[in-house]
Amino acid sequence: MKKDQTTHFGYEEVKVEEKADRVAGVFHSVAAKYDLMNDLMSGGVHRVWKRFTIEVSAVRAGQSVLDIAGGTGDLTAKFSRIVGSEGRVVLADINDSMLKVGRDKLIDLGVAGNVHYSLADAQHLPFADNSFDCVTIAFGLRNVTDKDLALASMLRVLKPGGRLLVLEFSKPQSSLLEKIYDQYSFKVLPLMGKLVANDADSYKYLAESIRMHPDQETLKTMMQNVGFVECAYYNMTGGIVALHKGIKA
Amino acid sequence: MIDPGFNSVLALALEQAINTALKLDPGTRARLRKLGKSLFHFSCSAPETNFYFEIHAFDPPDRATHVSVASYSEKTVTTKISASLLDTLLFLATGKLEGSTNLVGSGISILGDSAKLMELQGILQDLDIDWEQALQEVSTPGGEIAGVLSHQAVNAIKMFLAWFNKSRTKFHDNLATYLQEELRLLPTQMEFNNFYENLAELRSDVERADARLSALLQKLKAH
Repeated sequence: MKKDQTTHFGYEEVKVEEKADRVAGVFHSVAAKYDLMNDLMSGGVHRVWKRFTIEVSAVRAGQSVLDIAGGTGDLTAKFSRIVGSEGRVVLADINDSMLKVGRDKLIDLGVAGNVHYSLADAQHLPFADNSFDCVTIAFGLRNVTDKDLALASMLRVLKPGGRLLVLEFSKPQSSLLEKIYDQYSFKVLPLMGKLVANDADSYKYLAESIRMHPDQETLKTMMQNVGFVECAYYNMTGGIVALHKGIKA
Repeated sequence: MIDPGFNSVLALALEQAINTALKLDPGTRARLRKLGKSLFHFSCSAPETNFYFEIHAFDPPDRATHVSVASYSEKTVTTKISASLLDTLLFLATGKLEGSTNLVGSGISILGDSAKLMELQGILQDLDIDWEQALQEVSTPGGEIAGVLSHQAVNAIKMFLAWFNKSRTKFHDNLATYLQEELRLLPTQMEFNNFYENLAELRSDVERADARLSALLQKLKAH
C-alpha cells in the first residue's frame, strides 16, 4: 500500500500510516473499562456471541489456538480450559494496554500455564507458517488497516485444515432493526461512553467503524479471495453480529 | 432457523439447569458416570434448534460428572434424535419421549445407539432431586432453624404434589366417565371395538360382493 493512500477511521478519512496510531489511541483510552463497557453496551449478549464462537471453533484438547485482538482475554480463557495442558493459546493484540489488562485479568482468574502473550499486528503475524489449528479474531478486524493483508497473514499461520473465525459487528437483516440499532449506536453509545468511561469520542468511533466494516457477503468474498475455503457465516441477533468461518485448504 | 445466539442461550440455560439438578442428585450423577462419555444430538423442529448434550463422566475425586450443552458441535454423535422442541424439553423434564415405543407417525426419529438413549431415558425418569438440601442451601446460613424450616417446606411441597397427582388422575377418570356415560359424547372402549368389528365385517362383505360381481361380469363377457 502506498504511503499517500487514505483509509477510513470511523467516518473520517485518514492517511493509511495514521490509522494504527489513531486506533491505538482509542484502545489505550478504553482498555481499563473495556469489559464493563462491553457488558453495558451489549447488555451482556457479547458473552453469548463468544460462546457460540467457541462452539463453532470445534477446538479440542491438545490443539494450538491464536486469539488475535484478544483484548481482555474472554475467548482465551475459554480456549485455555478446552486445550488443556497439552495445548496452547496465544493471546495477541496490537495494543499493549489491552494486552496488559488481558494478561492481568487472566492471571487473576488463574488462567495460566498454556497461555502465551504476544504484542502483534494482525497484518504481519510473528508466527511460523502452519502453526495453529484455529485462529480467532473477535471484534478486531474492523480496526485493522489492511484487512486483506491481515486475512492472508491468518491463512499463512493456520495449519492445513485449520479454521479461521471472525466474530464482528455486521449488517442487521431487518430495516426496522437497523433503524433502532442506528439510534442506539449514535445516540446511546457515545452517551454511555461519556458517563461510564468519560470518553464519548472513542465510543463514537466504535459505532462509526462498525458501519464502515464490510457486510456479511463482502467479508465472505474477501476470505475466499485470500484462499479460505468452505467459507460460511452465521448471523446472530438479527445480523448485528456475524460469525464468519473459513478453512485453510 | 432460530438465531444461533438465542439457540446458544437456550443451551446455556439447559446446561445450568441440568447441572444444578445433578448437584442435588448424587445417585443420578453416579448412573451418568456409568453411562460413560457420550454425546446426544437433539435436532429439534418448530422452531429449528440444535442441542448437543455431552456427558462428561469422571471418577471421583477428580471432578464431578457433569453435562455440557452446546448448540453446535462437530464431534461424533452417539445418538441423534430428531423431534420437536416441545418433545425434547418434555424428555429432559420427565424422561419420556412421546412415541418412543412406536415411532411410526410420531415425527420422532432416532439414529445411532438407541440403547444408550434408553439408558438415559431411565436415568432421567428416576431423577430424584434432594429439594431439602437445595432449600437448606438457599436458607443457610441459619443453622438448625433453617434445617427444620426447609424440612417442613419440603414436606408441604411433597404433600401438595401427592394431592395434585391424585386429583389429576381422579379428574381424568371422572371426566372420561362423565363424557362417555352421562353426556354420551364419546363412545366407550367396548362400543368402539364393536363398531370397528362391524366395520371390518362390512368391508369384507363388500369386497366379497365386488369379487363375485367381477367374476359374473367376466363370465357374461365370455358368452
